[in-house]
Amino acid sequence: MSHDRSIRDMVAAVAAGKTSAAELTTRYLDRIAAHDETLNTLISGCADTARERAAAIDSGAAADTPLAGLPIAHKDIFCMRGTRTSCGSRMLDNFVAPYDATVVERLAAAGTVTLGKTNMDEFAMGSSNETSFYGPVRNPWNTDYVPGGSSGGSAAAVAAGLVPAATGTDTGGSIRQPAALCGVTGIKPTYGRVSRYGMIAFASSLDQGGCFARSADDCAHVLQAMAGFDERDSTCVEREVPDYVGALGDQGDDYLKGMRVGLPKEYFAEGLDDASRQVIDAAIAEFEARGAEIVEITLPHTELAVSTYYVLAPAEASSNLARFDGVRYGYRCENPVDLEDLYTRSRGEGFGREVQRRIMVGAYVLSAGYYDAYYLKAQKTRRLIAQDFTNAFENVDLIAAPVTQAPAFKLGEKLDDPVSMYLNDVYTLPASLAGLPGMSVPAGFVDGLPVGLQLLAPWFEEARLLGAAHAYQQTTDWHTKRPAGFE
Amino acid sequence: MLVLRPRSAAGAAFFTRQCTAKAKPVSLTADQVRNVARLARLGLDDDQIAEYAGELSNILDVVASLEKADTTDVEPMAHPLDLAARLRADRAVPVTDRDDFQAIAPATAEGVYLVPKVIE
Repeated sequence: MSHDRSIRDMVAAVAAGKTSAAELTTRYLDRIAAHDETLNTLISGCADTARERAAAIDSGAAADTPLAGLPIAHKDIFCMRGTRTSCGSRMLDNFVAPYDATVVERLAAAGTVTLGKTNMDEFAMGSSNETSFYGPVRNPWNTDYVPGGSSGGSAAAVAAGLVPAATGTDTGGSIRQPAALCGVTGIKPTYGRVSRYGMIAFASSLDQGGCFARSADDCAHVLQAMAGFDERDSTCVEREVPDYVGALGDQGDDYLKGMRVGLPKEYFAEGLDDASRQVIDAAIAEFEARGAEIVEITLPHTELAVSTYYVLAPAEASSNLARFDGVRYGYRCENPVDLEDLYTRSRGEGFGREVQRRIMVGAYVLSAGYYDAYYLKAQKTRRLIAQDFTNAFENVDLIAAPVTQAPAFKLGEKLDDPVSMYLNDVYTLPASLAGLPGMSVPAGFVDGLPVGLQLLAPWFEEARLLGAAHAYQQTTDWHTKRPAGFE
Repeated sequence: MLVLRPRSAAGAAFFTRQCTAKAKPVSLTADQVRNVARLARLGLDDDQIAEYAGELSNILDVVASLEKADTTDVEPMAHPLDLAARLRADRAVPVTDRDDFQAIAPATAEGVYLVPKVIE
């Protein structure tokens, strides 16, 4: 069975006995073996356990599960019992997780077969996948270019057809941006929709798990299995999960008719690359042709998003990453002379440069004398940014915008310039700060590199996002394109 | 001042607008960085301290644009959904046992974690 089949078709074929979990698993493991040396999308492979699991499924182990036999990969931020969970860091290079993340547990219970753990920016801090301890991932559309980050391994693996779907996390754009740069479909659900239990924390008020796949319909299948209340995450929301898969199956051709789609003028202002803008304009024209009503809106506090995020996220990170102390798990320096030396050298040697930068920014903005000026101020501007969306959604059903200012950049191009890397996140940060659900949908190419259309919906309206993306994908074929060499 | 390499002239304009509306550039001294590193328990050498001083100053320069935002009467937002903390029954639940957790520890003995001697 071809690796270009939809998830809907694959699970139906397994259920009908037309293919097997073993056959699918072998097919994708072969592709990983053929291509991953070039792309570096996986930190750890799980070929042996995957084959055992597939054989068990073929013997009836996952009977009547919705995704029986579907191969997937997990971002290496999700704990998976008995498997190294590195979070892209030297600090956790030796960390074998003693339990499963809820996301891992639920996807396994849904019948999936895990082929590996995907590469990522260290502790999910980065927008290019270059901060990984395991080396950068390469973009399958042009291997001199970055895949985006932080979930770069997941996005590149799906783009290259090494897995049909992969999990990711999005704190400031870490699903939407790599999805855009790799030309795949990615969804970041509403904060609280997917459990964070067992997902290594970066910025707890922003982190949210989601997924990558070829299409909205594929994403719906994976999200369906991931989403929902979990009492082990105190911020996971107790709210029913709609039938995303069923809704897309039943969706009529007129889904976009009468839908009010807002274009935030701040996202189309200076900074947006002209060629990317043309791609986004064409995508919006397609929405209009399908009956959507396009209106200009304003999100006036957009320009505060970068500053707000780069106070709050590092502050939360400096607190979350305090747990890595060389005592209970993870990296410990050689021959510590005393406890202080153990802490400081383990953390000095175990964390990479970008992580250390953010820990220090966080420690600085939280320190005595600066707390009000930075942290408290940023919590207030965060509310202004969120309020912009509340106001906007009084008049529109959906927001459409670019994901990034330009397509992928070259490996190394921004690595020594953190500020330029941060500014790259300007279109994805606001929705993260507001906790909104968002998607990136393949919308075209500039010089052979993919461009993503960002869709944002009101809180908990993932079904609307998926519906709109699915409708767009019924009359466009950008999401079906494969990079040369990975057909 | 900041050294930037935006992708385009338009990007440069956007950036300049973000970063110039403030009184003076933030400049952290080596001692300030050393103090932050101490607070964060990061062991860094002098070369690293010097590099981080420049980089952190650039980052704080961007962040300084928050100053110009009018946040009079705005409530701080700590959590995106503004929900009240969920309560649960106070009952014991099974967790992974100690052996599992200690199997991945750098040094343990008889059920405790070992660290360098802290009391002489």
